[in-house]
Amino acid sequence: MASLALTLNTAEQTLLNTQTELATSSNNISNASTPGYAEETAVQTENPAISTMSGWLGTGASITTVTQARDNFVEQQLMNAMTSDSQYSSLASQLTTIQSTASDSGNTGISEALGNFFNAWSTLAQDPTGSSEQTAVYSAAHNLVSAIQSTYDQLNQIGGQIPGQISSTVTQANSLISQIATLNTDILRSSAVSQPNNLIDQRYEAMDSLAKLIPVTFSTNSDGTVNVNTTEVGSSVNLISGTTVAATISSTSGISGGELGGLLQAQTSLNGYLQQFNAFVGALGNQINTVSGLSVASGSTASSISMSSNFLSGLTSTQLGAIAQNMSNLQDNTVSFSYPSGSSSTLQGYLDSIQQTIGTDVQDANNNQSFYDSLKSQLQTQQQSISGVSLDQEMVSVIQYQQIYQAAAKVIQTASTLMSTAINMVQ
Amino acid sequence: MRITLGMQTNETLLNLNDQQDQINTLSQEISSGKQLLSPSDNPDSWSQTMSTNQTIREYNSFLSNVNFATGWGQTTESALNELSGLLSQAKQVAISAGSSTGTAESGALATQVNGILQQALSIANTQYDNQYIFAGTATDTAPYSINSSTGAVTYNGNTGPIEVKTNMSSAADPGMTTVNLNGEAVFGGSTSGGGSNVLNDIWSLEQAITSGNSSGISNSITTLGNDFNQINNQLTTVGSQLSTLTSQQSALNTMVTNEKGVLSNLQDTDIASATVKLSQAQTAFQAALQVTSLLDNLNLSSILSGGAAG
Repeated sequence: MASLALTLNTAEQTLLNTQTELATSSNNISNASTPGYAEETAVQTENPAISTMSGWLGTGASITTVTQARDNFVEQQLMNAMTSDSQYSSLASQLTTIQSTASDSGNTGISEALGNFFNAWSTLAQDPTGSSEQTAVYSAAHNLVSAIQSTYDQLNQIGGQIPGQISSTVTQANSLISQIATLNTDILRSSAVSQPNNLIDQRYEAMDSLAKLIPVTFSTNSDGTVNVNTTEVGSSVNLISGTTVAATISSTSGISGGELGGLLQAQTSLNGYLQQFNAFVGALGNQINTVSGLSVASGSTASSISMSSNFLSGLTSTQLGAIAQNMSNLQDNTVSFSYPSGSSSTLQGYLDSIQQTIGTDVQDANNNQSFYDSLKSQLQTQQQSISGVSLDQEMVSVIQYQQIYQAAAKVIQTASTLMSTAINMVQ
Repeated sequence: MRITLGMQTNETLLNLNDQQDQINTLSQEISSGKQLLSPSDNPDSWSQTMSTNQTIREYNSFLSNVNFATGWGQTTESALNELSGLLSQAKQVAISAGSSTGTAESGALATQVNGILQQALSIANTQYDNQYIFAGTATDTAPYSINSSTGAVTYNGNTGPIEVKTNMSSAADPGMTTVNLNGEAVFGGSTSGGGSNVLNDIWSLEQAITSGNSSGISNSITTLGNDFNQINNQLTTVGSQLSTLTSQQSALNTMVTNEKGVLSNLQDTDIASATVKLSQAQTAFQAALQVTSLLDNLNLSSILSGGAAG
């Protein structure tokens, strides 16, 4: 009799086990497309055997815990790729905006204005006292100044928006840091009962989000909490230690990766371009005044430069002719520029080189981004291969559970028949 | 490898995106006709494009200067042709005045010479584009005037060359072309210092005829002959200047065409190859879409729903 009751107990537990397993499968299927979700498995272990006269009898199986499929190494690699991907994508997007403002293919904008300015002087040599020729020189000078200033202003405007983006990124990162610390606290508390898979999923989500903003490395503690570090100026800085926030970040932390790193890099690049524009303007004003011997340009920066509106007046035809010739030759002269120090080229050549620098920077950012983008998706594929939900696998498991459930039910039916046969026997 | 739903979706999306991106880039290249849309497409080509555009702009300005110099030269040439005609006319008059006897006839000849003098004076003050062409660089004031009673000629111009830029300047070659003839070399300068002047020579003839000075007349025949040769030499100079300008013009036009070819090579889309690439990308995209829709049916649940569960 003892073993008949045992059979019933074992079969009952099997029914309960398959229900738990079906619930886990059902949960997996319903979360198949949930971001951050890792496939869960109900871990079933064999129950201890009991000793009977016939020997050791097994007492079935029970579900001890529900675990999730994670590979921390792959998760860390993925976070690194996300950091670089978002770094270059934010850098590329900033630089592309800058590029479209600063570039003119030599046919519009500053290059055209500069070419027209010199051509106006060249035409002035044909008729130095001609009023239409002189007006052309004045208006070309005016156009050149306004082309320089409008480009410079637009670049400055873009530059003015970057600090706001930086500070909102910093705020976002710090809020994620405290969110992860809170999740650590919750996980620590829940772990006493059983592994809190959904909290762990949320924590990975938060760490992924943080990794997009700043570089992140994490290590798991034995109590289930994680320590999170970042990299500032090449050295590791602890942000979260278990349940406490060890440090927060600021825009001056020296972060060189993630969206924040990308924004900071864009700011540095833009400052370089602005410096080049100022060096161009400084050399331009200086050369114009030196070569013409007149006080045409005043102000040595892009925002302060202006050109006099009567620099040709009071000069004889002979003087004007000589000035016009010298000025039209200035465009072929090699001129030295203050930035980068020691550089020299023609004025037009320097404008070419500014655009070439910007173009190369954008190209680099784009190339890096597409590299890290494909690395990221490769790692995402790997991560999904480990942690993702395979619907086919779940379907097979469901069939398996169904059959086990049916078999267990059959066992209960048989045992119950046997039981009633036994009961009827004694009547 | 374990294949999961997330993996499949990620990869499918990524591939479809990549292909659509490629199609987008190609169709943009075809519709705009340009493969170089921003510096980052190819920084080196972009910089070359910029300097080529600048070169074309400079060449066009050289062309405008060459056209100006040509116009100036042609005006000079026709002025000198006219002057040369006037001088030979004056010489004829001097010859006939040398053999004439009557005062009435002398008066008519003197009037004729005076007419020639006035015409020569107006040629000396010829303008092109509102500028006096024989005034050196002092182009805004009439260079020649003659005192009709003393015959003294005043030259208000200078010997300065008017130069325009017709080539890139370098240390070896400033790239300048002289537009004008030296006014003094054509007509001569002021006579106050005792120098000779074409206008003064014609005036002397008129005086000699009026006063019946036969040695003066025969002297004029010599001086006017010299003047005639001087003008013809200057005509030769203008002619060679003009032919230089013509060849410069055709060279500049060729260079502009060449530079435009360079520009087109740098920035224009090779439509034929882009179209072929586009149709390849489209085919690949269609195939990818088809595979995606095929994958949709390739899962166990869709097959099991046939009734295996029962």
